[in-house]
Formats: sequence, C-alpha cells, structure tokens
Amino acid sequence: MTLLAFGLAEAGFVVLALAMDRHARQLAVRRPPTWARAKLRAAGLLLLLLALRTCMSGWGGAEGVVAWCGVLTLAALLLALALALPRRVRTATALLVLLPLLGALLHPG
Amino acid sequence: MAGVALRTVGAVGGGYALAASAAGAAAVWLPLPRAEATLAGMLASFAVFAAAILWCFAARSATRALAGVALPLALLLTAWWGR
Amino acid sequence: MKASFRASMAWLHTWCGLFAGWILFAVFLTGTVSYYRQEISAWMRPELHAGGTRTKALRRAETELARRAPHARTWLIELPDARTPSLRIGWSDRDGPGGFTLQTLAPVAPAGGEAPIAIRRTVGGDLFYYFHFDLLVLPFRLGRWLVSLCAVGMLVAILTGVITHRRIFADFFTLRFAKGGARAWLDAHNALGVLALPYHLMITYTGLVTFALMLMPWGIDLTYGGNRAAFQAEMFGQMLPGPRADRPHALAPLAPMLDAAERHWGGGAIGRIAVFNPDDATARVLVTRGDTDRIPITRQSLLFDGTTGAELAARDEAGPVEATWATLYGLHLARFAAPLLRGLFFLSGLVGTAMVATGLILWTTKRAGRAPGRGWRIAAALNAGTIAGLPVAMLALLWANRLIPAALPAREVWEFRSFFGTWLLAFAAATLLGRPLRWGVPFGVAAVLAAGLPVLNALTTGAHLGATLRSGAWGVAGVDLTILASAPVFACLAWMAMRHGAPSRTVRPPGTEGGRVLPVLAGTRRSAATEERAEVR
Repeated sequence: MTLLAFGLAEAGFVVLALAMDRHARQLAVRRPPTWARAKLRAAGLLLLLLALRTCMSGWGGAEGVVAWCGVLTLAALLLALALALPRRVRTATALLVLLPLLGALLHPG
Repeated sequence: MAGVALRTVGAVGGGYALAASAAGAAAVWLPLPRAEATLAGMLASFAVFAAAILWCFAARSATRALAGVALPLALLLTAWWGR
Repeated sequence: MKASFRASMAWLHTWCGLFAGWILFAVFLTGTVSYYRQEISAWMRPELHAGGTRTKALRRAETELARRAPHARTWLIELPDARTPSLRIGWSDRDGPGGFTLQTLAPVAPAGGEAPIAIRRTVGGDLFYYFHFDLLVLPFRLGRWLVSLCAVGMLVAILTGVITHRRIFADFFTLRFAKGGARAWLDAHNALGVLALPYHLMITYTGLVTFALMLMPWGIDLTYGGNRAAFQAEMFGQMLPGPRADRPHALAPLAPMLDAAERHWGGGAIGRIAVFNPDDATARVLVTRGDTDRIPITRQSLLFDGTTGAELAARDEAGPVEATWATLYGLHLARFAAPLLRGLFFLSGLVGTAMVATGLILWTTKRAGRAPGRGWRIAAALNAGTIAGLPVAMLALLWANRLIPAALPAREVWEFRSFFGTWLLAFAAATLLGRPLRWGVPFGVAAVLAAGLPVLNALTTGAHLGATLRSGAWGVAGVDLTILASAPVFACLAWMAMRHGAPSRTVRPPGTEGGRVLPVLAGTRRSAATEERAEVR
C-alpha cells in the first residue's frame, strides 16, 4: 500500500517535471511541445491524487492525508536528488531503484 | 536605522499586542460557548502576529507601519470595554 | 522598507532567519529525534527487559504505590505499551503538577526472593524532548518564551520565504550542486523548504498552539475574569476530587475500571491513571484516554469511585474548536503515528533541520567574499558550533549513558553535564579553530562516536544489536541502526569540509564563490559541471 502510494507519487512528480522547462531538458532528450505540457501537468496531478486515494484507503481519512504529505516530500526529494546526479549515474541509479520497486509492487500480497 | 528599529518595535511589541487583543476580541465577540470562543481566539492569534510582522516590514514608511498596527489594535481593544 | 515588496520580504527573511536560526536548528534537531523519545529512553535503560502483560504491570503499580506512598494525595500510573517497555509510577502529597516523585520500573516485579533489577537512573530521551521546547534553561518559562519567539520567527521566515522565492514551480526540483558556493546552498535551502512546506508550516504553527495557554491567555481574562483554572476546567474537563474525609478505606482493584474505560471509548487506548486519596473513603480514580490510537489529543476521561469501582462521571464532548485544537496538538506530538508514518515524520523533521542549517550557511557563504567583519566571524563560529557541535553533544550523551557506572548516585546529572559540556567544547573549538577544521573536526568526531556507539553498547550491556535484532526489539535496535547509519553521513560531511575548505584547494571555476565555507554538497562538482554544459547546449 505504502509502496504503491510512493510509486504513484514518484511517477506523478516525474510527469510534472516533464512539463517544466528546466527539468524536461534534464529528463528527456527532446523537450515536450507546448500542447503536451497541459496534458502532462494534468496527468501528473492525477497521479498525485491517486497516491492520496491510496494513502487514505490504507491509513484512513485524516492519517491518510498526513501520510500523503510525507510520501510526497520523500518522492519529491528523491527526484530532486536524482536530477542533480550526472545523467549516466542517474539512469543506473533509477534502474537499480525502480526494478526492485516494480518487483515489490507486482508481487502478490 | 531608526526606521528599522521602529519597525522592529512595531512588529514584535505591536504585533504581539495586536494578536493578544485579537484573541481577546474573538473570545468576547464570537458566537460560540465561551470556552470555545476563547480557544478559537488563541488558535488564530499566531496568524495575526505573523501577519502584523509582515506588514510592519512591508509598509512604505515606518510611520505607516506603526499606524497600520495601532488602528486595528484600537478597534480590537474596544472588546475590553464593550463587554 | 526596501524598493519593492519582494525585496522587503527578502530582507525580513534573511534577518529573521539568522537571529532565530541557531535556536531553531537545535529545536528542530532535538525535536526530530523526539519522535523516537520512547525508543531512545528504552535504549538508555538497557537493564529493562520487555515483556509482561498490562494486568501484571498494573498489579505491580498498585503494590509498589501502596508500599511506598499509602497516604499520598495523588498516585500516577503510566502503563507500558507497544513503544514503552517500562512502567512509570508517581506520587504527590499535594495538588498541582509539581511535587511528584516519579519512578521508572520494570513492568513485572522480580520473582520472589530475587534482588530487584536495578534500572539505571537516566535523563533518557526526555532530555532531547524537554530541550526542544524549553532549552533546559532556568527559569524554564524563559526558555519556553525564547523558543516560542523563535517559532514566530520561523513562521515569518516560512511566509517571507514563499513570497521571496521567485520560481517556486519552475525550479521545483532544482539542485545545482555543480555551480557550488552560494548557488548550491540556495538551491538546497529552497528545495528543502519547498518540498516539505506543509510539514514546516504544520510543525511551526502547531508548536505555537501547544503553548497557546502560556503565550496568549488574554482572552481568558475577558471571558473568565482572569480565572485560568476555571477555563481549563471547562475546556479540558479537569475533574478534581474533593478533600479527604480521613475515613480509611481499601482501594478497589483498578483493572475492572480500565476495562470499563476501554469499553466506554470503543476499544480506545488507556492513557494515564490518577488515583486521588487512595486510602480514604473519598478515593477517586481518573482514567484518561491515551493518545496513541488517533490524531486528536482530546481530553477524554472517566472518573470512578475508588472504593466501589462505580463510574461517577465521563468527560467526552468536544466542540468543533476544541476538536481543531486537539488535532493541531496531536499533529505536533505525532503520538498516533504508526512506525512507517513515524518514519515519514522523522524524515520531514530532518528536512526541516537541514533547511535551517543550509539557510544559516547560506548567510555566511554569501558574505564570505567581502572582508570578514566581527559579525561574520561570530556567525560563522556559531554556525559550526551549533550545526556540527550539537550532533556531537547528542552522541556524547548516549556514550555517557553507557560509560557512567550504572550504580553511581545522581548519574543522570552527569549525563546532563556531558551533553552540555561537550556542546560547550564544540563551541570553544568553533571559536578557536580555523575554517576547515572547525567543521571537519566535530563532524569527524561525530562519525567516530556514531560508528563506535553500537560497539560500545555491545561491550557494556546485553541489549546490543546481536540480542535486540534476534529478539525483535525493533525500537532499541532501530536506535543503534539509525546511529550507525549516520556515521558515514558525518564522515562524508567531515571529508567534504576538509577537502573544500583547505586553502590550497580554493581554485574554483570562474563565476563561483564560496571559497571560504564548506561546499558540503559539491562533491559531484566535476562530472556534474560537464553535464550542465551539455544541458546548456
């Protein structure tokens, strides 16, 4: 549950970052065209809201909101740190982190 | 320099006085049971304090800064007589 | 003030942040570790073994109190729970919060005939907890007002920081360590501030709310004619019993009353138990609801007749404002937080600590290029003494806990002294040492102390990692593991401080400043600079 919420939040922030000038340049080879940005922004926010829903169903209403804030902070910090790394190091780190995460998410139970 | 000193006095002393009088006014004027109204005033007073500090350093002149604290303070202090 | 609104707010942010910053850093760091106050307290009492049911602990409390203070005015009982392995009892001969004799016991009485297990006297995690809101200065009210004033400064700094930040969304994830100097510190300060903004606002405002009664009592003067006790009685439902009748009477067993209270709260946790006039016909038992199972800390309580166990009164209702207050209070203390959520609070607290630290270092870095004046030198020494010195002092306290003989009388005073003594030493070092050393030495010492602590723990007690991990005492093991994990961080900080602070290495790419302070975060400089160029293209 927490892992899922964290994954959704991280994905949401990556998508939001793609809609931002500086971060899009850091993340993608080509920056997304203007028309795509509004959609990216909407998709990113949607993912963050999905993370909120996951938190609230896992922790219960009020505590879910508190947990969501914490999960968002953690996810955003990790993305900021990752973006500060040189690109090659970043790709390797991302793979090292994402693959086990994906495994944990897909693992039943 | 004198301006900064005046503003600081207005922000810290005046801001606290304003927050305290807002807490008092809320306790008297809010249409709630008196314990609830008193607590509501306490809870909101810190926002008033912070806003007053921002105002004191945002105002164009030190005089305006002090006046901007003194006027609402006078208004809220009527709660002390108007009960 | 300045030419524009934004410039005025930037000015206010700088000076408000600087003057409140050193105290705020200490408050944030000690407050953050206070999320694990119970675990740290348990770590500091290695003789204490977990185990024992509530019934056994309650029976022990009743026996001990009846033996030690049969005619007291008030008994206090705090039963062990999931995070606290110890039983706490207290007694007082008069009304009011002062005058209590408190004792920490093992929850189960040692089996008959055996010598009782002596639990070392220690300040426990309480030292960090109390320090974070009253700085442990005397009189304690002065410390609380000082911390509150700094909290108002923090509130102002947060608001002005948001106003001043030019590109809050455009630079959301930006950390340009590659540029080094003030730019890197500013990016770090911004990111740490923005990414945990809800936490910073919450913890600052709720911190003020916890002291609302002390800071803003003026409304009570109007509505209650200055009778603060009447306000507290009405607001928080304090149910004080009458005087004793001097007719001796045995106390009814407490366990059925606790069961009744639990039923009344629909399975809610039991908090503190107070017994008034325990040996008298007027005996009363006040059971207060615990705060570990939900966010709001409402003052729900049940009053029982101590001679019959009959329920006399219940305090339940919470108006909307009281509910708000209770939620804000509960959010600050975070006693409701389950382990994972507690971890997120801890992380957010560390982010807040780092935000204050980077802000302080930014102030000196920005002004490093000019001829350093007296003010700059004082600020730089205070920075090192606080930011690098406090962790050393905190670790020294834990070392002292293991090194001071367990049987030494008043040993908790020596623990207290070792904390403040080490910190004073760190300040002295920060004043006397030159630029790289004043950061490198304390961080290096912190790394050694942190790495050595689990070893020392294993050498001096039986509650070491090998034992606690095997028995599943995660709270105590977590303290060891967290401290162990902090060792490489401190080592890294020390290494970077020495590397970048050394005079021979101050050659910088043009356009960067900050040859004077440690660019701790600039470790990836060369490779990242290459990438930055690639990105500009």
